[in-house]
Amino acid sequence: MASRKKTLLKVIILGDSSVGKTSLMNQYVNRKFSNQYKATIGADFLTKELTVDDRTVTMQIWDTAGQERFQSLGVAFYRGADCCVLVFDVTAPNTFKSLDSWRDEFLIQASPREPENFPFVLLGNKVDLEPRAISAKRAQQWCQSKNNIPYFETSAKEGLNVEQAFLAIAKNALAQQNSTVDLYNEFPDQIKLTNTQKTSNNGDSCAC
Amino acid sequence: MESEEALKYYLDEVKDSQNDINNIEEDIHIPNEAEQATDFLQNAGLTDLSNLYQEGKEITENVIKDSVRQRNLTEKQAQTIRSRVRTLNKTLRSRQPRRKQRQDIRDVSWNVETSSTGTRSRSATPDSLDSLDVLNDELTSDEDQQLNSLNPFSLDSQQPGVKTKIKWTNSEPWQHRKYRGDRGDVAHSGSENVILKGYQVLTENGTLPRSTRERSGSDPTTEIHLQPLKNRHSAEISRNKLTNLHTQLSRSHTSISSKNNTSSKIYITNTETNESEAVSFEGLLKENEIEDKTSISQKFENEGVCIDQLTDSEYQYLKPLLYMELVAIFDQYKIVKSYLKRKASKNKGGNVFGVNLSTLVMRDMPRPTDNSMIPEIFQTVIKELNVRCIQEDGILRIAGQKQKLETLYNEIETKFYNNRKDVESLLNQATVHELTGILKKLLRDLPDPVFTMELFEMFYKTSLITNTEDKVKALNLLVLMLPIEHRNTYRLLLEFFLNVVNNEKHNRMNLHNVAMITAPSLFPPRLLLPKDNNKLILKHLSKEDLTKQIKDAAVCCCIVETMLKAGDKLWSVPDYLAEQAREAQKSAQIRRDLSKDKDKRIRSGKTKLARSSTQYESGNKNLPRIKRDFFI
Repeated sequence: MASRKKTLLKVIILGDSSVGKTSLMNQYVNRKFSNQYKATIGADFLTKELTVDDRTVTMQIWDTAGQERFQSLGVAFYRGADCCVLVFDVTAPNTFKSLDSWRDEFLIQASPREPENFPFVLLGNKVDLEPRAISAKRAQQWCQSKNNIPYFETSAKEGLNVEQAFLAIAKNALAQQNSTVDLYNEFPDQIKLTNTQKTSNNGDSCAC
Repeated sequence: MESEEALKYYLDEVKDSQNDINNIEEDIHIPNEAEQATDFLQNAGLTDLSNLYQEGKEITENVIKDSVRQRNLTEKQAQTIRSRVRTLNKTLRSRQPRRKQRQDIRDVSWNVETSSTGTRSRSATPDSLDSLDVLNDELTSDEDQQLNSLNPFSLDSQQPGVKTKIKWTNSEPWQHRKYRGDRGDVAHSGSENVILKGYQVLTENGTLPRSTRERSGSDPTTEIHLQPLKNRHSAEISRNKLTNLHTQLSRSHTSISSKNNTSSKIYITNTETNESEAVSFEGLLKENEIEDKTSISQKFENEGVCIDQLTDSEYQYLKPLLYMELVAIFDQYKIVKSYLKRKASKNKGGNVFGVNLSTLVMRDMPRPTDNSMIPEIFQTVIKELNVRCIQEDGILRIAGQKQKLETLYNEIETKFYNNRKDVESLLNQATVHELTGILKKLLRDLPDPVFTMELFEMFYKTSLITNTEDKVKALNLLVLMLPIEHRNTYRLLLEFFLNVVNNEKHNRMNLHNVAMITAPSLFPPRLLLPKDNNKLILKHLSKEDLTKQIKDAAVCCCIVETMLKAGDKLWSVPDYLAEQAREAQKSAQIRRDLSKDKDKRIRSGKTKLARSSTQYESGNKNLPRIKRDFFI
């Protein structure tokens, strides 16, 4: 297992503008948080090496512009992704409501082979802020409706839960890459569950 | 259910974007140099020059000087014209090798040569006729080109007999005679080289002996033409040189003569020194440019006329000037205007969204609230934003809720023209982020973007200008060149953006953020990609494409940032341009009045005299000239 070559995982962060995508990435990769309010241009990526289950993997994290459209950019960086991270701001209900669109947009643009099984991870960011608009329960409900997406509550500012979230992301991405090889039994494979009646419907409508 | 709807929406969007891509009409015909030059002349309002070219006539320096003087153009502008004219003349020459007596570089050199041998063998052959031929030769060719610049006497005094003689003397006999002359000096000039050297020396000094002979000539015309001839002769000499050299020659001419008004003779010698030391020549050019810049920028900042203060007819005359100035700047940075001509897209058939600004303005017309030429929908939304929520955190950046926005779009689309009150109350209730969403959608859906298909490429290419001051100037010129609907709408937008920036403390939207967020709405990404890529975009994209796209996004952001920084400066016309435009408008007015008189006179057969007499007083620049009305 350890003798395997380095693996490159492509992870994409999506979500409305100013939910903290860039901040999350920076916190995870550089352990830094800046109060600067700065929009992201187009897309950018950072890489981080980490060990998942005795395996060294390089995670390439793509930060995207949350603007509705640098549209033409979209396709290019969605392609070949191993995992998609959806981010919303727990204090801004609108950012939660757009999650569906982001997820759908990703599935359309990236057109993964098995859309219903593609790994997503949901992050509710800015939990350090008050007042909260979206409860953990509500977020979890949404996750369940989408084929049990893993959910983490994070704070990029405090560095809360960020490490754990990205580890789960890496694991999910790895699982996607090795979905044919059943090596990681210990990995909770909620994504591969066969109960896909609802999501496969989604998948069908994607394809048309 | 919700997600399915959203999915449907996205599918539609993707389809739309694909349609967008297919709808972009491009004319990939890339014109050659000459076509580009004609294009320039026409855009710069110098149709008289481009017409000459199209009639197959070379454009002489005199004609250029004429039109430069007429329009009161600056030396820099004249330079831009000259470089284009040179291309045209070159094309002409290659296209029609010696037809009739038309000016040809080879003919000229023959003439000079003969005159030089003539001086040598003056005693042997009475060559007063030779010089006369040369003289007339030039005259007739100039006549061809200059059309209107005849002097009154040339017609009368030029004897038809002499004219026919010229036609008989082609290059063959000259050569023959040259040999004869050489035969007399056989002892000195054994080889070709010696002859060539002698020829060069003589041409440099050749003016003097020739003019004396002209005076002593038996034909009375020579004396009369002496003055204009001298000028022509010096121009001819410069034309004798290789075109390559010629370019440098006239370039350095400006750089030097603008500093100190030296005579033409000195500038010729100067060229020769510059030719050998290219570096110092460049240095000189640069120095000159810097001087130019500072003087312009001072004018630009201190004075300047707001574009609104110009009348429509003055603007008509300003436009070619703006274009000329812009091309001058682009030339300076060696930026080539791309000739990927895109036709202005048609409306997509909507009511409000996807409709061109000009159409929107027209639709507002039945009940015009003002004459700002800004579509009402833009005015309403921006007013709402300015009044209500300029301090909102993350204004412009944060997106509205998609479903809500969808319904808003639909309401506006269907009700804006028949149930205005409904729409207004809807906008009243809408949140900030929904309003900015509407604004951004309005901009993105414009078939003809704010910067127009025509000028879009040029706007984008200003990013290649390294000097900020020049970049601002180019953008200023470009903004002024926009059609009025676009210009005024953009002005309203920019003022709103600046208002947002001014409230940075509250909304955290600094200049950089605003530029970044608004750039993709002002510079639609679909227009930045070459057509091939556009077709492939949904299938495959290489890494280079991706980097290019990101770079494009950054470039657009920088341009918007520059414009935001420039702010109000963008709307002011540099003083000297405004002055030129006003001048041109006035003299055109006078000309138009006069041409009415002229029409009457034509009938009485007096035109020739009138035309030629004005020609002589051309030194006075304010004098109305009865030439073709070139602007119309």
